[in-house]
Amino acid sequence: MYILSNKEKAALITIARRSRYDYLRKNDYTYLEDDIDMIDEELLISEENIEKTVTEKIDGEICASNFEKIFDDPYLIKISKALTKKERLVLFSYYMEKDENGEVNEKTDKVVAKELNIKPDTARKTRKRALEKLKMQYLKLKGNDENDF
Amino acid sequence: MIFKNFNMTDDEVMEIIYTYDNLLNKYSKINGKIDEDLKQEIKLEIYKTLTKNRERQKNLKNFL
Repeated sequence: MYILSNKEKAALITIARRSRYDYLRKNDYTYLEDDIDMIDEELLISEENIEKTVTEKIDGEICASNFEKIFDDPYLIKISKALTKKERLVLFSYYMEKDENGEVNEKTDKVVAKELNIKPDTARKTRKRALEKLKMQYLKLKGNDENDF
Repeated sequence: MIFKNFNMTDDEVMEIIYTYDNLLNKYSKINGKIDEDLKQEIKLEIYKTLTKNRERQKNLKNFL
């Protein structure tokens, strides 16, 4: 009998796993209660982590969707829809989110970056880009080229 | 190619497949039940992999 080496056994597992993946994809399986791949890859996360992730995600969604509501100007409401979700989230964090004392203060790049789990430089660039976008769109809509925004 | 033995007979290949039946069962489960079609698919794929170099080896020998 031919005895498989460890590498060959691993290759056998890979073949089985790939065939399974292809089969599931071919047959449009979307959700599996006992997803072996998940167990093997040790991707299972604790309930605590799931709760935290979901809370963060929902918080982000709410912040992004609430961003439009802060404008009174109909032009700005229209323009704010042109921003990406990330840009909205960054602007919301910078200018709207309350700090620990319940006051709305302009935050530093570092604080926002820490909250959103991104680099301070990325936060700064995203904010700059978003403001630039808002400004350009606003001027375009108003038909005014003056830089008084 | 990880599988170095290019001269495996069909019986040997089938023996490997039967030896690793538990593994195949594990990867054939869908929602807790063994899906026979999926198991068959995996078996076929393993058979193809283990035998695909037979022909190549034969051709190489003829060439040399």
